[in-house]
Amino acid sequence: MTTEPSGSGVIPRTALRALSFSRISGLYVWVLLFVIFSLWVPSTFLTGTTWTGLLSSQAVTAMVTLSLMLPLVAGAYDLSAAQVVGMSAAFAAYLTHHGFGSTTAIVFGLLAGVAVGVFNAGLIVGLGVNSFIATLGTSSILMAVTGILTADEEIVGVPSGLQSFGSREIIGVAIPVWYLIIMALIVAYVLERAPFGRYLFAIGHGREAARLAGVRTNFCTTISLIMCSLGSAFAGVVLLGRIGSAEPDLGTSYLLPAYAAAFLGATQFTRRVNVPGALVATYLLATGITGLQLAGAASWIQNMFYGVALLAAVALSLHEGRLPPLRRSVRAKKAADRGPPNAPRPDE
Amino acid sequence: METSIDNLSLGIGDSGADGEREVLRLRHVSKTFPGQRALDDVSIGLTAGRIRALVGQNGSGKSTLVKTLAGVHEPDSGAQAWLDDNEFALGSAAAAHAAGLRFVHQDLGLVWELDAVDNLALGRGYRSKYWIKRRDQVTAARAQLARFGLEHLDLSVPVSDLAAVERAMLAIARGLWVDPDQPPVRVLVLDEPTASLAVGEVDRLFEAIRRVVASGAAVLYVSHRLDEVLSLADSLTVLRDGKVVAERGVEGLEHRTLVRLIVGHEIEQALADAAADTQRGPGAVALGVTRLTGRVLRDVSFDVARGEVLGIAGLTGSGREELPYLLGGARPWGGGSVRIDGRELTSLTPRFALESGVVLVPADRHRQSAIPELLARENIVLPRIDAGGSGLWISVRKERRETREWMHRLEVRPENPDRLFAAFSGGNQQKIVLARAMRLGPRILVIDEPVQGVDVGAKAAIWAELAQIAAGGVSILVASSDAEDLALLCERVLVLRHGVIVRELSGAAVTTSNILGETIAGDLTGSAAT
Repeated sequence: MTTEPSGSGVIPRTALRALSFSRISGLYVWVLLFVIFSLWVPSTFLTGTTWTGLLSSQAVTAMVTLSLMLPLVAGAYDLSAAQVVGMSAAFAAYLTHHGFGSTTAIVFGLLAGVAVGVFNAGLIVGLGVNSFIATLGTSSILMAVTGILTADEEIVGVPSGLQSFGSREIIGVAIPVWYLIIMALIVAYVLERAPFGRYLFAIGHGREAARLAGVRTNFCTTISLIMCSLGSAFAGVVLLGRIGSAEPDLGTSYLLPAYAAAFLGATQFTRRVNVPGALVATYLLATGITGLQLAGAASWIQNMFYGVALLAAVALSLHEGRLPPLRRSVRAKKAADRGPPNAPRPDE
Repeated sequence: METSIDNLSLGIGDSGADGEREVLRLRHVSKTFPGQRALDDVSIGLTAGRIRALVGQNGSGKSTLVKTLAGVHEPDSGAQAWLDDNEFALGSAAAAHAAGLRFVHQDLGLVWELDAVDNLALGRGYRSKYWIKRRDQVTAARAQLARFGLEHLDLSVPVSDLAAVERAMLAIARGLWVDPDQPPVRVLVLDEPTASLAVGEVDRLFEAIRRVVASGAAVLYVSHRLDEVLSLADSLTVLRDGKVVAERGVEGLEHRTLVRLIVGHEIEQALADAAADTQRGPGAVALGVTRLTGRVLRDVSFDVARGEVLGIAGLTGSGREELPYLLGGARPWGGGSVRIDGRELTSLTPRFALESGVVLVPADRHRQSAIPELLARENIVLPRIDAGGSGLWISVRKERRETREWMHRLEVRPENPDRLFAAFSGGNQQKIVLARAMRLGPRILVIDEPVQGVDVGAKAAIWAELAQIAAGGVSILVASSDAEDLALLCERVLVLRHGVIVRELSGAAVTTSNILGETIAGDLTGSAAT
């Protein structure tokens, strides 16, 4: 059995192990992609516009990834996160077109996110509905709500307050990137150094054992779901500020990239869901796609890339066995094949 | 001491008396893994119609030997194996199967959702090739089951609804089922078959095993449970550190001698000494239970004194497995109350129990008492995470240091807090679980099956630690299906039957036979309610 450093293994124990391929394969792949596209399409790939655009456009995706990581660690899938992005953007836009100021719009956009989080928790924790199914349902409802808010067409134009909220620049870096950095620090702290994060990991890897250890499993899961929706709503409002419009289908395209990055990131560094891994994964995937697009690939390349990355990441993770929600079914299968090593099953 | 141990191992071939055929013969079996010699020139023989037990600690090579036989591992060169004087190749599952060896592993290999008929067919295939004829299949199944006394088994329910002992016997029946025109099975290897059986069920299983050998086959019986080994087996082989250290008949072998052979030194005296150190005589009442009721338990009342070690005995379904979880707040109560430190409580949650000073250590290390995929130190600190003065920042360095100290104190090997919990052996896992409990500074420690799946050496260490905690004033409540363990550690034992306390044993009356006797008395068929 391998020995694993903890979440603090972001700075791993030995330098040699730190640079091993299995730990940071993402970084190596990223460098490889960079080299390939620099040689392939240097005139477009190596420009400042390409890179600043990449950095800030991926910031929103990365924020969604960071948000959904919290319930994911606790074993809950929040598939509605992407639609929360769209819904909160639409809601905020709607408010600004109906006489409300920027600040109000932002605050209510965030509150809408909290409401969704509470709703999801009610289904998943309260009623015990499987998180996958529950949030699938929620996301569909949210898509409808977005349609209502936008009257099925695009809402164009946002007040300057919102605009500066989403597209200001601070020391030359677009503000979404700053938001991302702050969010990344917060989520990294929660997952690695806060007791709450420990509880989430415990719940995800052994809910009953966590409960018996005195962890408030329902409460923690609920909070993680609310934090996820809140974070997604924040991303949505930032997105609105950045692009200045909201359309019905705004959120949909964020679901796959966000989860792909989370899972791919979980194969990096600490072999658990972790923040640096997710960030590396986000930008790795974006680099690959941008490079391919600049090289003239068709637009379907994006979906292909994310799909393959997600499958590869999940296959790798199952092999190492570090993803809580999926692990259960694999573990059950392995237990059936092998039999418990030392502790016999107690009679029921 | 060394000499007397040598005298006890009377040499190879002792049990293969003249005139009795050796069915299975293994010679010079060695297995080297990187950095470890798991088996060192092991030779073993099985006689037709006889049961040989294979005993040894975790890490003694017991399971490696069984796996080599089963074809999971390939032995080092020089190993030889014969079945009925026909040589066969070790390290191949197909060769073992073809030679006539059958295995029943610890988890039985049954599919829980399927019924007995389908499970029987799993090993051998259905009688008809393209269209299953249920009636024919059932008839054939019944015939096979009758050979093991299972003719009245319910064939219509999934095997998960059967009693544990019925499942174990079903697994054996399946292993021994061959086509009439094929040669019968010659060797049956059973790996910890009684692991999840209660006392009364074990006799039924033994009956089935005796039937197997009566037909001329040989049985290799691998087990931790020494009293079972002494009562069932004709001869035994003791492995230690990969070598055969003893091979002899069971006749006249005493339990403590056997332990000495397995561990290599005297431990029971140390246990007895440690147990004697615990406070005797009445102390202040630390826990008062009044009319506690659960799903099985009915109006159970008793007291536990400070520093007392109280045992709870009983068959499956007696309430023994329920009581610890009620006290720990893990299961809801149907009534009753509990008095701790003067406070009267009529319900508990796990959190509330912990706050009241009651620490529960569940039996199941995989699902309840620990989280295998977390690190050792993460497991140890989980119920009370130290996050600095503000409770907001976990210092991993401090955590590592603190947990390493606990691991050192309980002699967990390897002493690495960053190691995955699942990577430790059963005995070390249990020590980590115990460290977690002790770190909370409990007033009352409630443990379910403290040494289940733990090798003899680790068992002794855990017992000693528990005795020490009790001496320090902590009340310990131990629920166990092992009468021997209870007799060793507890000063007082409550025996449960059908949800009520039927007997209280204390002082000199706390003996293995008394506990066993009271536990199964009145249960005439010997089978436990499930």
